[in-house]
Amino acid sequence: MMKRLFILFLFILFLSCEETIDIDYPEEPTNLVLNANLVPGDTLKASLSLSVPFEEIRNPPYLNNGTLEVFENNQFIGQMEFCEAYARAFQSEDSVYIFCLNTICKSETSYTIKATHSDFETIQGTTTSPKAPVVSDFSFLPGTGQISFTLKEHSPNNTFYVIEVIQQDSVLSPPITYQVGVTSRDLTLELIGSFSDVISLPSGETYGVKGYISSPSFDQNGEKRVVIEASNLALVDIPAFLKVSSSSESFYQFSRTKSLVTATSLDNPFAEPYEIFSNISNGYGIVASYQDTFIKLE
Amino acid sequence: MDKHILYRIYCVFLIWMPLLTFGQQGMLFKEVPLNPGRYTSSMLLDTIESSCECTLAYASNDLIQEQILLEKSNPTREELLEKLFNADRLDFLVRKNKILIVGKKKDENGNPIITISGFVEDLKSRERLIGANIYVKGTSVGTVSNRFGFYSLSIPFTDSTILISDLIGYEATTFKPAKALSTSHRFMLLSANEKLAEVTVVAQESEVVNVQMSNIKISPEELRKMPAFLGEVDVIKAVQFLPGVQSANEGSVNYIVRGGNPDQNLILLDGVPVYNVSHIFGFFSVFNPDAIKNIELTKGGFPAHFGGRLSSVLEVDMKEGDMKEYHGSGSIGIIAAKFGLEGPIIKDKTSFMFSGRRTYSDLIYRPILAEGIDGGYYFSDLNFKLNHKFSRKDRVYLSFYNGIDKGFTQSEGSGLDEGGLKWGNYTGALRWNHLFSEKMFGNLTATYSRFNFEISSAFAFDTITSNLRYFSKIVDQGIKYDLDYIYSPKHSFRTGVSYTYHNVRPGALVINESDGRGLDIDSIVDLSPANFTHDAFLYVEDQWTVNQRLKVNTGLHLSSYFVDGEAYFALQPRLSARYLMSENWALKASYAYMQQFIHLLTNSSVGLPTDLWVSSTGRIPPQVSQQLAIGSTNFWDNKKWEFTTEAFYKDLSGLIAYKPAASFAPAVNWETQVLSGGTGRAYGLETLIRLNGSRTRGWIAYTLSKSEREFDEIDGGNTFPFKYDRRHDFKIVLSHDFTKKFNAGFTWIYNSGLKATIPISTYNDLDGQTLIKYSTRNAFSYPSYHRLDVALSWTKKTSWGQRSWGISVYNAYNQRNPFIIYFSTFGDTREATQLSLLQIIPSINYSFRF
Repeated sequence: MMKRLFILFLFILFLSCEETIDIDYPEEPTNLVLNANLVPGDTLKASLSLSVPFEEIRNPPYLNNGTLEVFENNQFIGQMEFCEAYARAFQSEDSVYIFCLNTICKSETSYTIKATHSDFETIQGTTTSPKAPVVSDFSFLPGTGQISFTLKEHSPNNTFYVIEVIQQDSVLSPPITYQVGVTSRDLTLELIGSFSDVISLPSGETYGVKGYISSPSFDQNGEKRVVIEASNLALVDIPAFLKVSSSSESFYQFSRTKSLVTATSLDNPFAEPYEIFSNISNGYGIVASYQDTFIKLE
Repeated sequence: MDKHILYRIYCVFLIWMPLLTFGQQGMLFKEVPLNPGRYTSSMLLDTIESSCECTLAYASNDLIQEQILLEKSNPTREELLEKLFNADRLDFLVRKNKILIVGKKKDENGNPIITISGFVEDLKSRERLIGANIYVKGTSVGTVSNRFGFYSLSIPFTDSTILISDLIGYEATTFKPAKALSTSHRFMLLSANEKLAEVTVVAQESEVVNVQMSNIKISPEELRKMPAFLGEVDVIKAVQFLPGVQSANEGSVNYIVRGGNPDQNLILLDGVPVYNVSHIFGFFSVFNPDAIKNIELTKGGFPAHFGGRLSSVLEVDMKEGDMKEYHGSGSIGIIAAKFGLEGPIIKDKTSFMFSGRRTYSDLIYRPILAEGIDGGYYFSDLNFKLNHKFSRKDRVYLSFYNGIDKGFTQSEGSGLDEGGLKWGNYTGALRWNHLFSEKMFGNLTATYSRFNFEISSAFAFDTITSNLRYFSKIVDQGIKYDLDYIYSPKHSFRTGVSYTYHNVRPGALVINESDGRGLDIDSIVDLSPANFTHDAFLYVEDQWTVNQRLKVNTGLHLSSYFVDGEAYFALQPRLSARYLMSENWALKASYAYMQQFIHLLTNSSVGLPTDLWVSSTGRIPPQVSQQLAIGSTNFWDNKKWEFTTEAFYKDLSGLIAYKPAASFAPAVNWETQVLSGGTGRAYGLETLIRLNGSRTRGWIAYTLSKSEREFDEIDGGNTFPFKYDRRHDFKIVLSHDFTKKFNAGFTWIYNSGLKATIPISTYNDLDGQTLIKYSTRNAFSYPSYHRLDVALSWTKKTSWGQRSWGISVYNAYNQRNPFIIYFSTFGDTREATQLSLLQIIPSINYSFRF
């Protein structure tokens, strides 16, 4: 439909023209970017990189010469080192440097990572690692694709869940994960993401590929019953899972805003852009934490 | 109190309120059985008393035993009493079941107070004129005719009392009351058009006389002389040249008033809301200038009878139709042609007006399309109005408008493939005016308004057929009753009730599919829940002339809105005041509290038909505004020049907007796509210098303003500039009659650029993906916008009427103004690219009138 509108718009624009212009960009210096996803039970890892002015088309470079200090519950516990084992390379052959600290991340613990670099202002981010997800009363109706389960609010006013239905094709190497669109009649469940099969969407439902649930959605017993439908789920050959992530607020906000941005790419050009959440002071990036649990749908 | 009980009480009140009003006056309308002839005053009084269950209280000594001549049989009690007491000393009042005979009211100088009332009409066509000024010569005492041309003015009588009536575009006319008697008088004004440049077109005296501020009128004559775009002058584009009003985008008829949102403007065609005024994605408005007789914009100081929108009310009135003669008009332009006809059906009793317009580009290019392919786009408008005068006191109007935009494609290959989109408005109004007395005027209006938008797609191959149709619509059915009552020289009341039933269907999908072998699908899916809502309000206004200098309009507007089992009530106070510094200089101030229950979901503001009208719901409360304005209006050089300046502050709350990253998506429940509870404020200073010369007319307008918004979910809840926060807005509109035949005019506009959010850098995220970092919301300003339009017209009188050739040049110096800025890739850099939509566009049109 947008295509038809666009064609008609072109008809109107027969007199339009384009020209390249200089615009005064808001002052924006190059910034340090700190990213860390702290998973309870895993070692602490982070990366440090630089932002690139939008006019330049190049991959933002990773840094290997910064200093990353880690604080656990506000107590300094060590300095991250460059970890060869986690280095990655993209097709562009730009190096990806990962810093790590040989300490296991604990649940319900506050972590602060402070990054310093001689050429930039010090930046830092803080997160609190969540408890493992508490999922009960799970049921799955293969005929309709209805999935229902209860989530527990494990920390009053500070519980954040991200849910999604995925299918993982392990035959391929590396395995490919597909996101499955779901619908819900529960408008307090924020579903975000694209969904192509619009005709099957009944009245008064929301849809998306990721669901976001936070403390205000839980009842007075600290529980939230979630009912979603993955009616297009094809179980043939490819295993399907319900993925429930208990997350820090920072991860929840980061994931949610990133999902919104992803959805924008399918939208019209007039939609306002969305700022992806960051909890890094004086810089960009995110220090976040989550714990996943997977329930096989069968 | 239980919500339902409250609702019932309220409804009963709404229904009974007009009936109670009728009842108060009912006693006066009963007929008295009398034959024509001569009677003494005392005989007539006795007859009145014996014919009713009422008491006449009077002192017999005060009565004059003069002979009264009755011309008609069975006069009403009111007519009889008016005949009896239209004398210098006596008057009557109605109190419950008593008629009190009292001494005639006198002012502080002992001059008797008389009431002059009636209608203001066009001398030739007998059309009633809206907003005409009626005032006492040499004073600032006066009033303005209402939307049906009615006026009533109570004034102290002296031998030198002369009333003047004038209206922009008309020659002023006078009336001198012969005796100290209340009387009716019909002012007949001669259109300037009839005498061309010989008439001194008067200024808008009402700007000084009237307590209303932030109100501007554009006459059809002014509109006709403005430059045309593609040969078509446009009502909304003319309005965009007024101070405090800005175009939302290049070429768009969507407009912003005093920092408000585009949906906060109520647009009324003959009192009926029009929801989408765009043709061709906003390049033209739905108003055919040939069918229009009045354009009036109110930006603030809203009287209590207005409600339902926060930022402005644009009232557009269709012509009523000439009661005396037949007239026609038409024109042919670059893209459209139009034709209109008006005249009497029964002379001096019934008239009609018809006007139609259609674009014809599709008719030209369809024949040259390849075989098997068809497609096109057109829009059309149809205006029709009937006007019947039952008596001096009763008149009925029936008006109708239909506008359609339609685009379609069709191809025949291996199968049939059709697609199209269509949108349009239907509006209808049935109005009954009744003059209860020289001091009381009532109007009953029944309205219908419908806007619908649909996209359809059809496919047929072999035995398989598939039809999909997405549609959204909003349908209003309403009834309204308004009553004007001039209680005394100091108090003039206006009251009324209104009820509207809204059927809001933001999006539904109709599916018809068949494989020809028995597998059929036939269903309607409501993608967003439809809302059936009840919107009722009650208002009362008192225009209080405190003294010669100070006039105050106080009002209350009680609104109610019922949706999803939720009831929203609001008591909305309104206040306007005018203080005369001198005969030609008035200071004004106003305060208005407004609520809005119907919202437009848009993030393009270019007038796309995909913009959705939605209702407040249980989850989405109404929008609210409070506006404070102060100003000054001056006239000088014999009212040839007008200087108006106003400062305003507008506070907004309950605003809604698409969530960031969200926009129109047919499959989505809109409620999940919006942010609510936004706040905002706008403030600024507007100045207008208007020249109303005999040959040169126009204005210069400048607005300095700022508009901001706040949403919890945008920019961390920080205040950010509104997208349409244009700091400077400067306009010139000028037209000059060089000769009786040749007129030239131009308009020039300059304003600060729109605000936008732009990408400023890229960076890596947790997963190694490159993300874009944007500026804070609307931190970037587009380049300034400026444009010059020029119009030349040659008019010649012919034996059958007159004809005109017009040449217009849009964007005469070919300024490349920004429509959208986006980023293009050049090697390893990105550069900002500006899309300019409308460059220099010359056009020509031919028009005629007879």
